[in-house]
Amino acid sequence: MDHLLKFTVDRARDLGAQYADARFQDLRQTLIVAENGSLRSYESDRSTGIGVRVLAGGSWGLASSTILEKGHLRKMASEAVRMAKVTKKFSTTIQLAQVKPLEATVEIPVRTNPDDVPPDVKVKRLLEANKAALTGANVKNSSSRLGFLHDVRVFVSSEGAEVRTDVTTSGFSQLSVAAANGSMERVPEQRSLCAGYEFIEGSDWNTFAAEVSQLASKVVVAPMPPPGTYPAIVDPELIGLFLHEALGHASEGDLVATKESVLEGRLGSSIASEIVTVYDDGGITGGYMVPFDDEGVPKSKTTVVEKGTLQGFLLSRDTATELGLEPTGNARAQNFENKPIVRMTNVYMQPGDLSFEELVKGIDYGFYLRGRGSLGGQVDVGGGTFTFRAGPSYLIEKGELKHMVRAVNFAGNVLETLKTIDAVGKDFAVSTSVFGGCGKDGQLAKVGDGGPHVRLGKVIIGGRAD
Amino acid sequence: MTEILSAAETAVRLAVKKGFDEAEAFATELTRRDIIYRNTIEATKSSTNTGLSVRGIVDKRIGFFSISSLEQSGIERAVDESFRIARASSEDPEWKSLPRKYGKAIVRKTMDKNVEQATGKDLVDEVRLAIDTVHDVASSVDITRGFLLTSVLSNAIANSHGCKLERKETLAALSLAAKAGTADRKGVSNEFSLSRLWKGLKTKQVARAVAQRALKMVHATHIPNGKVNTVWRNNAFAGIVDAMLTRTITADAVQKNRSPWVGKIGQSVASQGVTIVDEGTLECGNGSRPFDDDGLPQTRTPVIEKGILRGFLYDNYTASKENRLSTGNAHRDVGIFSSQPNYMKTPTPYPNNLLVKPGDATPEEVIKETGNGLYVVETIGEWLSNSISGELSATLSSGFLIEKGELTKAVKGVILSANFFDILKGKMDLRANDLDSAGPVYAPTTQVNDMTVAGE
Repeated sequence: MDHLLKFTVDRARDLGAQYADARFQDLRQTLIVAENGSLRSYESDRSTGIGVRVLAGGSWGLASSTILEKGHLRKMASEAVRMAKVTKKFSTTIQLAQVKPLEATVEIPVRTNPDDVPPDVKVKRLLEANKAALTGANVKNSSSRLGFLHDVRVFVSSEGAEVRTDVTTSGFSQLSVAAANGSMERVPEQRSLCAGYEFIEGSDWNTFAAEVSQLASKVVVAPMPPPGTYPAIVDPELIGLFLHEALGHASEGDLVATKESVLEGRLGSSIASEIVTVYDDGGITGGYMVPFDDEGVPKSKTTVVEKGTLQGFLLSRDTATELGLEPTGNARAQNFENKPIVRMTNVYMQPGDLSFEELVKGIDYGFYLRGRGSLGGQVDVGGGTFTFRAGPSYLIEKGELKHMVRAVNFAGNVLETLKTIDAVGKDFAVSTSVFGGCGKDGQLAKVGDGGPHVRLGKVIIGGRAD
Repeated sequence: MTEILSAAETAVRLAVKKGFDEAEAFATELTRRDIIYRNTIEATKSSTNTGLSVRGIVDKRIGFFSISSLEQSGIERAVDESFRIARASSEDPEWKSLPRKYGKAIVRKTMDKNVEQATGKDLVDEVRLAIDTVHDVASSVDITRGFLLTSVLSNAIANSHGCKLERKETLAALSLAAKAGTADRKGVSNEFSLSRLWKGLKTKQVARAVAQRALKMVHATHIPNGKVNTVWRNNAFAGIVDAMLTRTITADAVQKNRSPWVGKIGQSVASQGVTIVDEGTLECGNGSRPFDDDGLPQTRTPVIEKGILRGFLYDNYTASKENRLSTGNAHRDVGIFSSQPNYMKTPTPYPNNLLVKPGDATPEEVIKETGNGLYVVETIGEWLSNSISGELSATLSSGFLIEKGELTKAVKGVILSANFFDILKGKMDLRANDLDSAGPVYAPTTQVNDMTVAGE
């Protein structure tokens, strides 16, 4: 494969590109779905392709194809250079920060390649868990999924870099729907890990799935919280989601460079309370493994916030130049076809020293917001408004956990909320998902996130006033 | 014959030879051009994406495998893998058959030569028009993100009952995000235009709107907790209908008990003025196609008619389960900008163009009629709502107070909630005569009374 990539890069250089890189990807995905005790679908695919990116006349030109033959690759290289030149007059000059061109191969170790496990073994395992979740009179639907992703990427640049990464991810997800008293609720939950089939073999998915159903049965009869502004404790799953949406996106160098981000111009200043330290790390246990980005730059641990002070942004080579900083290995593309853009890898908060009970004790009236059953979140990076859907959660009254409340949306302003964090727990967990990903500019990227239990002084909770 | 149809026929032939009782192949060729820009052009991109999937059935066991290569070796691999999967799968007692006859409806304006033949220079000129228009409104407004894309999608489908069909469609889209103000006080706004036709891109209009609103949003504030009457701009309302209805009005969701509409056909579920129809052949419709992803003609399917729940959306599989005809709603991609090419998935029912019947007032008249309230222009997180319980929740990222029938102060950052089933039953009776889309939904500017605000 490397020779085809080099061939493409050389053609682009011959045609006048100042810089060129080519990316090959071989992606294998399998998704098996069971519903209400029977197999619903078993989808598997393999896609391969090459994308070339050139810098010509100061602007990027990209072309890609699933047709891997030399004549076609030559056309691609010429199309990329031609289009970059067409835009020359109307583009800003893009400059790449210097990096050392590396040659490396990183393969995330896998004991059992999911592709080597016979389909019937996977189906049996999935059906068992799916049936285990059909428990209790309230449960109307049980959907379970097994997902596998095997992503091999090769990167070659005109500067001489040659990097190959090989990452396998496996996971299980459960969605249970319960109905009672004329009302219905759905609770989704999943677990994934960058590992092979051993991750599926080594866990008790029957219990996991049954617990999701029990939660759905319970929350369908729970009350809605009253809408308003309250203190809240968020769990590791939700603080991860919060940091990802609220802080992570705002720290992406492209959004800082365009001045869209609320963090623009705040490097070195205090943006969160002093107990907040946040990293983006391509190699943290439990997260999605990103040893190198799609510019062949190694991704290690980037300090975003240290003791409340904004320390760094997430950067690609071109955004690093624009902001006068060093690249951090955060240029990632969904696949060979897409332009690498600044993306997070795994964003998490460093744990503190308080127990969960100590966090709860500090709240007179508020909520314990859970990530289990959460649907995700979204942020308006420019305006600083974030919103999330928590899973089934709990009321806290006079320092004690009380009854369950329905899944609620909560929202706030990024900078205001980071300042109100007044206590950080000592537990810690980071997770990823083989099923979903983070969307930006029409591209989906695998990410991870997490942290400890954290207390937020003030968030808006969107219940319903009846 | 095109290359994709010939590849699909080869796959079917090989699959029958392999021992499948029935087999189907679905092939795709997608060519796309993008320009990514801010205040200037940042990158251009062109791509060609091909692929094919094989769905084969043996003893009521279904196997499915897809591959990006259309070469003989790739097709052989897809056939072998799908056979291996089918043998391992459990029997589906409900499986009847692949379609024994394909069919085509007449659709207009879903393919535009001007999109297909647009040159690099045409695209660059259109982007320049967008950038110049924004800066004509105010040179201080920055474009923070934008793209222009054109795509040409060709599909071929064939099966072992001797059926085969082909279709080709185009799409052009322009997206723009802008910001105004200073680092401490920013106003942002987003606009989007999507059309089958090159001339359907409302570039100037979109660029002007995004710049003007970014300037106004600089002064946005919260409003207090309470109840408020709201008016949703057409595409924002389409967004909530998308979040609350598109996944629960399919026969699949109903048959599997994950829809709140189970057992409610013929019942009154909305006020009399509410009619929602899936228009599979809407002229120039984003989801209009002559045939769906099963090879069956797209049709018109009333979902709610004058407040009464009339029907659900079927593909071949869910229809044959109930011994009825498919409504032509088989989709392999769910959403126009789905991150996976459409050949990679098995078909599932999904709306083509779900249309909320408009009213006869102008949007300005609806705002005037509302008197005092909130005009909702952009929201985030509405897709996080619960379409099964009906609990709708959306966070306002751009809106305006309505005072004495006029738009006044900019508002953002509050959460708006209501139960969507209550909205259908009498809180959305006043609708304008304009239509715009979000996802597969077309909706007019709509008044929604009595929403809960969580704010200050």
